[in-house]
Amino acid sequence: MAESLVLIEHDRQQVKRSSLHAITLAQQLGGEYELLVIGHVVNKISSSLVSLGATSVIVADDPALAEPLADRYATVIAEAVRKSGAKNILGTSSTFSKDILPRAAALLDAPMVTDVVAIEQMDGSISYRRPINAGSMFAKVKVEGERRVLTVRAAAFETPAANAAPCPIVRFDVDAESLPNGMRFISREERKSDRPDLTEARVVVSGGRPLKDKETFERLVGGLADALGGAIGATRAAVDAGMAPNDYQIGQTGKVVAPELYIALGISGAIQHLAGIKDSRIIVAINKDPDAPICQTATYFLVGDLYQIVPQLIESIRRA
Amino acid sequence: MTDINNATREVFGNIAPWMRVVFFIMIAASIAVLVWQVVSRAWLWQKGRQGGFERDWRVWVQRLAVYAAAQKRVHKKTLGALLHLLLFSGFVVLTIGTTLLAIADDGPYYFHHGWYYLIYELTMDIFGVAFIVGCLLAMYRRAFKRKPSLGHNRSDWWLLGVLLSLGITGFAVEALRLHYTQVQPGLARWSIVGWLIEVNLLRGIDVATAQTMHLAAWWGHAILVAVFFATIPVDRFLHVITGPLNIAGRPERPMGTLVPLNMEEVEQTGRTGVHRLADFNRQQLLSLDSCMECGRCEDACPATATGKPLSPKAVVIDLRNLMSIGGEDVHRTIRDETLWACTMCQACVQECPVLIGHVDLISDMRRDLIGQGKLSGPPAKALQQIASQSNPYGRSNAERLAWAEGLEVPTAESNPSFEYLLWVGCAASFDPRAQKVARATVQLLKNAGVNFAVLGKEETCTGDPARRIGDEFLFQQRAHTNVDTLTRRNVKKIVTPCPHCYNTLKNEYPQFGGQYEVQHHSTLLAELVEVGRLSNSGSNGDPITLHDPCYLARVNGEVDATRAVVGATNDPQYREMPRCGKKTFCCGAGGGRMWFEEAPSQRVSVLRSQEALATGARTLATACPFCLNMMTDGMAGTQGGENVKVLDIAEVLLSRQTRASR
Repeated sequence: MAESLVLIEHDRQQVKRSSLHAITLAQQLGGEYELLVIGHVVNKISSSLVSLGATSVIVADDPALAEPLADRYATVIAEAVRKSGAKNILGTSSTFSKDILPRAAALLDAPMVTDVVAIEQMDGSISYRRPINAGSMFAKVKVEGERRVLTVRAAAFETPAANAAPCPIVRFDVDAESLPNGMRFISREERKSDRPDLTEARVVVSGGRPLKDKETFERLVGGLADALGGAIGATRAAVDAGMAPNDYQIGQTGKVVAPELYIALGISGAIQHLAGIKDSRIIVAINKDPDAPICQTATYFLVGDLYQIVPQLIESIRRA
Repeated sequence: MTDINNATREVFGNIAPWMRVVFFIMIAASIAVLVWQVVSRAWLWQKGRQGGFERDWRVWVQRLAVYAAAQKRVHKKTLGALLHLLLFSGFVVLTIGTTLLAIADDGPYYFHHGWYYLIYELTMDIFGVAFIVGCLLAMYRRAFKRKPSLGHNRSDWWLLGVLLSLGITGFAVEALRLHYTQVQPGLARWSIVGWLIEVNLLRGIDVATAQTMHLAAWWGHAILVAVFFATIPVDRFLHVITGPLNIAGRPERPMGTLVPLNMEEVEQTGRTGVHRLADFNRQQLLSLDSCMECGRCEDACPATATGKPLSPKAVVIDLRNLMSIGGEDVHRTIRDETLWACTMCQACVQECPVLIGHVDLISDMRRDLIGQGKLSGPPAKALQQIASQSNPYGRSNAERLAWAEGLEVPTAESNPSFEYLLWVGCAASFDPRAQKVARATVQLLKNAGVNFAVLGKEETCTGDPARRIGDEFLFQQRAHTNVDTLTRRNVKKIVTPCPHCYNTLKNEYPQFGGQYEVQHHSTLLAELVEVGRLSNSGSNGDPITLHDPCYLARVNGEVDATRAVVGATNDPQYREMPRCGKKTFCCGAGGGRMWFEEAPSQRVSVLRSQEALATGARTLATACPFCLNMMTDGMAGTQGGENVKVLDIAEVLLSRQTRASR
């Protein structure tokens, strides 16, 4: 009987690498572990998982599971757990797992600990370390009961080695009729992007209102990001103006980034935006207003017209 | 010649003694219904926590004079205000007059004759007309000019119908009485309306018929009076009783001050704030019944104006309905998003004619949400950072003086004999835009030779955002820490460029033993200009307008100093926005909203920017770092606003120093 069951996230083409980090926690917890893949036509995905040291890869493959509807996925997870008898149900912190795992925990009547960054032995049992108070403190949490649902912060655990002997792939039969039907899939919007994930990128180039429109934004901010192999960010104003999609927003009400290099194009530096970049290592700001408040925060502040400077910058980086 | 001294009227002349008995029984019964209904409401109020009422009778008298008798909050240039004045004055005068008549008739001394009687008749007729006109205007307004914020039920037509019928039958009774008692024209003219009816309509009717008609009209009028008494507690008419009660009973306290939670009580009950209706105090429950749904709070509310799910009126009415049906859990009727939408700008509180404390109601329910851990996202993070880093921005408090680099700002340590403590505030310490305001303020104080110091890293958040959001524990923790620091540094006078720090230091720290002479930087700068220690060279010719911060202007009444600093009085290019001074409009940042996510269409700052732009101003001056942040953002996002400079008054004044010294 497996000790742990790890939920694997994928985008129907391939495995999301970050979701493999939860496997490392399963290894640290000890005992055997199984991987669970849910979806439709996921053969390629499941076969890419066989050498990660699991006892088996469980595959729930059914047309009814083609889209990640939380009520159905949670039911499948709960059934798989009951069948395998796993004590730990693991996933990596993401919107996918935030949507699905709490429901599974409820169905299993199990406690849940999110954002685990480490485990420790305490008084003969395991305690989980998780950040609280916006990361300024850590809490050690102990849970009661037989089973528990855990999510991990990907950055806190290594990617597991993929050098084990191949394990079997086990089909998990799903009775589509018995699955809940409370949610309906309407549509999926995907951004095809080769750029790295905003919160994990080493370089982030981001733009503000002076970029004017979507095309200019893509040409200058996107162009510079591509030249540097970085990700794209935007201010709230740029997002409001429709220059960039919502998930590019950086700041108090958006994402928080901490790259090695942050390049701010036409960003004045409202405190709400700075809240999202203050832990960046080097901040370069290009702005035509020498009094822009961001000059207080920037490591390097270049006064000038970004319409002239940025194309030159892209050009010279490309040539180098 | 008419004999004026003998001029008088009959009172119950046409009414047989048995009819009088029936009349008195009927009136007594209707009053009994009235009392019973009011007592049944009072029964609901007393389910609340004990206390909450103002105890000083002098405050009651003063408030009743100003807000009940003189109706200070009702007066406005609107149809609603006019018709209320007519209805109210008519109602009061007619009630007093009828009571006087009863006293004269039943009392030992009959004074109802002579000149007194004639003036009485004239007065009653004039106010009778006012009353009827008021009724008709009210009907017209409800039928054709009803603003969306005005509460309306079918029963309102019934109420107005009763009032109008009372007025009409009153005059009918008067005219018929004049006719059948054959009053001489010289005296009858004083009862002007009745006399006109008599002259024009009743001349052909014989005395006996008139007497019968009078009896019928009299009974009609009497029954309506009885119906009216019994109707008072129904619906919005109840405010004639509950309004004055709430006006007198609301506790006296500066507008921007929230009531501290008593920690011992919290330990005993385990409750923070209001979860069940009975967690409100009795005065608050009474206040729910004093609302007559005039909608003025809603008209003034920035949350309502930007389409957020909050109307202060709806909060009051929803709670009242909950009370009526015997409900308990306030969150069943008031959604969390409604409570979070409030900017605590106090505009509703300022408008309410019967002194309802909407912000206190909302604050009490927010405290419960915080107690239940219902807040998440950026505002929760701001609270966590106030707790962990002593400022809502999550910066290290050791960097608190970064803004002062190169300015050689004296600290309480380096200059212990300072006169003024400059309380910088978190925004001006950490927000790069507001840091410039701190620098400008310091430069001005230095130019003027003011002996001041800052606390540096000993300064921490006053706790204002925590208290407004509902985290009273965190606020009290901050307050105690800061009061300790200020006492240790022997601070007497404080000046601060932040209206929120100003309000909290001035009005809320006394609750925790901190008594200081607190000034907003506008008043100190205005004084320094006044005595000539700073120059004000006048404007550069650009049209300029001023956005009054709520917690400076509305809440603390300070509107002159900001204008003096920007030189409003002698600048022909100075423009005033429609909503200005104490009647200013929020920027959207108050009540912790600074840290909430808002859809672009719901930003108050955009509405306010449009208002400022409409004045033609090229410079928008303000006096609050949060207003500065919000209005900069609002202007940037508004068509035509890109070129408007948003500045603090200290920056405006500093620019005028430089020009003068050049």
